[in-house]
Amino acid sequence: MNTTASNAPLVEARGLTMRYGKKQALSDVSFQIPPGRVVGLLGHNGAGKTTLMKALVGLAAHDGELTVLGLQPQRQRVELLQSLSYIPDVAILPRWARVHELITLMAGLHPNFSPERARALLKRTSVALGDKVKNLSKGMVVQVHLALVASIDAKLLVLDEPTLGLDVLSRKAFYEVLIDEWCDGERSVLISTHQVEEVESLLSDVLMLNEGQLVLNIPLDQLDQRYVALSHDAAANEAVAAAHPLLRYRQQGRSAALFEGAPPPEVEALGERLRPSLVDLFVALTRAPEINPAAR
Amino acid sequence: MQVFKTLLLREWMQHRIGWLVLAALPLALVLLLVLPFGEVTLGNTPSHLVSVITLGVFSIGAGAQAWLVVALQAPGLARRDAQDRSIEFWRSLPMGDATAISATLVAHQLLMPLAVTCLSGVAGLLAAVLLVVRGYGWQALDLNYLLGMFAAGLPRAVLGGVLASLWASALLLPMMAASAWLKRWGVAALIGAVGLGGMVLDKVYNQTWLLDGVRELFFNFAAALVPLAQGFEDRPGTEATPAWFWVDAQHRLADLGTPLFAVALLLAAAGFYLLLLKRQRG
Repeated sequence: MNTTASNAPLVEARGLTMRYGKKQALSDVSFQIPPGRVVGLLGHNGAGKTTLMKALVGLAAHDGELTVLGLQPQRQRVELLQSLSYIPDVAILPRWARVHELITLMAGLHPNFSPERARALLKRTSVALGDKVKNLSKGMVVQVHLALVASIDAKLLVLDEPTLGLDVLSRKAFYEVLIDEWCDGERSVLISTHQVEEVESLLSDVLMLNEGQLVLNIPLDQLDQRYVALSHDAAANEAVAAAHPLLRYRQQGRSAALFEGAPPPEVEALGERLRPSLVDLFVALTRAPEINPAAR
Repeated sequence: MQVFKTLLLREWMQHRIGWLVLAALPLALVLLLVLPFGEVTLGNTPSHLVSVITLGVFSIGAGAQAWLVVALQAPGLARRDAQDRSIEFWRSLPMGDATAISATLVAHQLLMPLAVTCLSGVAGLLAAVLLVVRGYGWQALDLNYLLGMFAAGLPRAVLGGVLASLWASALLLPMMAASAWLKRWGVAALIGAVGLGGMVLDKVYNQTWLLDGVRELFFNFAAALVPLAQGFEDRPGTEATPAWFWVDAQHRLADLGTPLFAVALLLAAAGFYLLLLKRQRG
């Protein structure tokens, strides 16, 4: 039975470890996703994002504990997928099908799918019900796919690189539908992407993977409590470098540095505090593996 | 059940054009071959025999044609969703992999050939009427006799379709599994391994069980479809044909009690399991 209490985490992973042959794809990953969150799963190619998502939806075997909506994904995949919607990274809708045929099939295959809602959502797009998938652009196909999964009365939506390869307009349209039609404060979304800047404003939490390890797990509203960015003049470069920031970069023509926690007071006095951006944090935590354990 | 029916609907949506063409071919043949000719000459052949032979040729011919399509399509079906990359979409829906594979098999290896055979029977009926009328005139047409033959043959054709599907599973499912795992070389590798293995066993070790077994599987498949296996010398007159259908059907049902059928089921189960494993591994 799917009996998650209203405040219980939708996803709970403890010591999640996965291997592909000799390669360790995920190492001892632990995290929770509570209801009503929009969680970004960030990481470079090969960081383990897709592997983690496959484990979440029961498509890959794993070691460690994992419960999703109170169910064990691999053993209870069919039951889980009744309350979890998933768009895989390589998902391609069947090219032979017309859009209205997909709606008919979804209605028969998914007990929580609403054909009326799917038709209503598709009216917001330029896709007609009679269109064949093979005649649609990639952006249109993704919109159809999102309309289909957004018409499922689910508690958790898992999106694996959903906007990969789309132009900026299609990406914008995708995120609009996602926020308007899915996020209601109770349902949660886990979205993996490379396009950190585009999703930052949508997210409530971020999980960051690097080389199969979870290097960041934080609500975004706590980001500036844990990380501090300091904008400073070039004259302060040496003093700032001596304080061992996570990252040194340039912002709006000035030098900047990113610290975990507050920098030493004498260094902080040399510059001006900024809110750290997710992109800079992403670069800081995923480009230098030797510092990642400290950032966990 | 709702999921299974929807998966059958998916097969219909995806393959309906090919299936309709297949089912319409016999009728198109009737219209093309019989109607345009000004005169049909049938010599001294009795009109009863002409109508029965026409009915039989259409039903059996269309059934064979449908099964040929099934055999040619089977290796591709095993890789269809992986090839067009829609497998991830299907697997993101709440349905079991075994259900998905079963629906494909039932649609392609049972329902489609059955439907084509039945529709071809109707086309055969029409062809028989047209031939007799064109060859002998309306007065020679014994519609009651023809409909009686059709009514007697239809249950045998349906039973034969179901039994043929069971026997064919032993041949088709391993072929599909080989195709799923080894891709385009799978079927060739399987046929090569069985053929070569059978020849080596026969020539080197004087063991014929492998080739004999395959031959027997084919024979039982064909016997399920075509009611001729009891031997031509026992072939009845047209009046006794309905009774003969029934006797033949009993023989075909008795074949299910043989050790060979148990082997056939094992082969089919092994093929199904390998297909399932491949689908689960992505």
